[in-house]
Amino acid sequence: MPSVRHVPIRIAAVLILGASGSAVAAAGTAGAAPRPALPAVQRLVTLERGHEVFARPDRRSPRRATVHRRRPITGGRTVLPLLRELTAGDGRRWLRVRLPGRPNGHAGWISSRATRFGRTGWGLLAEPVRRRVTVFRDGRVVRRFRAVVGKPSTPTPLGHFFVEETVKLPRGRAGAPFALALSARSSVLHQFAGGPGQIALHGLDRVGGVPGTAASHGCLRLENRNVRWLAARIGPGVPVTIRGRATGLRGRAVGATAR
Amino acid sequence: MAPRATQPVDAARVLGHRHAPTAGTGIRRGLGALAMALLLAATLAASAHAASVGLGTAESFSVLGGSAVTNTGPSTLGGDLGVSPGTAISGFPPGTVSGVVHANDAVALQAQSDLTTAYDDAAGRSSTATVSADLAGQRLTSGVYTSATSLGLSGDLTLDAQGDAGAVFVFQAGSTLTTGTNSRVQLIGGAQACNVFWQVGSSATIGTTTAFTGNILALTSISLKTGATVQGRALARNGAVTLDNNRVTRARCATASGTPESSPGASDGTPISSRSTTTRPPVVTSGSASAVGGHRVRLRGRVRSRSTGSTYYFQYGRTRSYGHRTTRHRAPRAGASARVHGRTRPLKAGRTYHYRLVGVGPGGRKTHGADHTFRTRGRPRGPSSSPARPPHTNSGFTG
Repeated sequence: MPSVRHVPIRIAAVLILGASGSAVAAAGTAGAAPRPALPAVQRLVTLERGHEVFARPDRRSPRRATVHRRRPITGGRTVLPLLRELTAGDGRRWLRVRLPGRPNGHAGWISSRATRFGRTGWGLLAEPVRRRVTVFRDGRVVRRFRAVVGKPSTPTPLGHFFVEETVKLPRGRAGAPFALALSARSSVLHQFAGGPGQIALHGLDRVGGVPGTAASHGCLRLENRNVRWLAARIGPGVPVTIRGRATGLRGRAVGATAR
Repeated sequence: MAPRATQPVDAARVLGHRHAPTAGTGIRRGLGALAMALLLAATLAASAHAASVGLGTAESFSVLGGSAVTNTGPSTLGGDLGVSPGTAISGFPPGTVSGVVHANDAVALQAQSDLTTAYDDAAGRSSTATVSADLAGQRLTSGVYTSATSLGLSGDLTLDAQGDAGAVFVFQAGSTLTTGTNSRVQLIGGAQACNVFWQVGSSATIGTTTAFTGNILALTSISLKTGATVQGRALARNGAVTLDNNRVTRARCATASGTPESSPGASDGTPISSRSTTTRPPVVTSGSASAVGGHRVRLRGRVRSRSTGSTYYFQYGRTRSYGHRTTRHRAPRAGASARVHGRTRPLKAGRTYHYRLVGVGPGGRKTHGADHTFRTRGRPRGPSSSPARPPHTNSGFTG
């Protein structure tokens, strides 16, 4: 949680952000950055085949789910954040990974077989209460964007998530030009537009909205140029933390100040 | 065509004597008859061992269940996998099957029918000897061994073919077959796993990390505990076959002369590996990578076959988990050595890849060459390349 001493500084930073457009470079703002809720470097696991997910690092433990090798929207490889790894008594290596879908933010254990390790220094921190998305790289703030966040009836879900896939949407599709489909699902809408109520950071084509307001169905809408900047850099597996209250008076006040 | 006149055939004619009768003809005829008798006796002696139990179409199966086949962990099956009349097969993957999976199809149905015939054949053979409930420490020659109740194995059992590659071993268990942890069934004297049969009146349980040899023909179920290996088959008529990180290598008899290839220790009776020498995988050596380009490379190696019907391929990938492999090719004939190569699919430029050569024996056993690396030419794609991909579906987000 931010300390009281830093709040005026942050409001000032938000004012600067609002005055200068929607993004700001990291240089000089690190001191005003919120305490990172993201690791400086996140280890990743790419699946070479589908995996059974177990409740514990033991094949006899309950099976939680099956994670497929490819993602459903783009067909790209499944990349999951690695939370922990251990070697069981029988010599098998197990990986605790964060999983996509419901329940939001859940995790489980998979075998290390047919996996490939990687890492990323990128991370996204979304704060619906402040109507903004902060981009980190190697623990430092790189950009900060204003966003349209979920309205009170369809709030943006909170928790620890990751980018499932980065989607290049064709012109004219809702949310174009790009969408960063997250592992998060709406806590209100179990289905939406033929999908599973999936939360994404996407553009404004055909959905509109004014960044800095709470008007979406749960997604985080960014100006097209900003989501284009993100899509050029943020790939599958990048951790995304959505924290704070989904919507509220304080958030509305900050958003209004920023605008 | 005029009918050919039939003539009486005598031993002398068989032995090639076509001369007109002379003074010594009587003596020679006597010698010829004696030779014929010796030849006949030798032939009979050669076929004195019992005939093998015919598995029919079940022979192509590593595992055949009646109600279900359940697997846990990365088990490997060297032949077909089937179930009939049940339909449930689970755990593949992570288990792998070298052959074909038959879930209550016509093939599995016929295999079950042939298994019943084989089971009845094995159960109906007259006993050579009655054995104790625990076979550990025993050394048996070919024959039919019976236990009215259960059979067990708490240590090592040695089956000695005494130089007869066709020696058949049949074990009849009135009820269960149970092996303890780390038990072993060893073959010596040219014995072949394909000629070992375990007819089990109810269920078979192969203990943890047991190295078992032979074809299990169980009336009810078969359970292979963690890490157990079977050089043979696990064939259950009515119940389930349960696997847990096992290797079931379908044992096949030597072809050609019918004699397994010689192996150190086999001739003098010293215990050798429980696996038949005819299924030994080739010796492989990973070689260098040549013609390294930005997206393609040629992988080289050397394969020395020890069994006919071996194959090889290269595994490659960004890590030692590999994840990709080249086309599988037939290895040179048994005893021959050859330089081999394989071509990868398009690779990413400027990346380091691992690779190794893998040899596969006729029974599915594998040998792996050492891990080597190469780096493709060119520059890796920079961070400016977008990770974004076009969608395959029209489903949307919550918006």
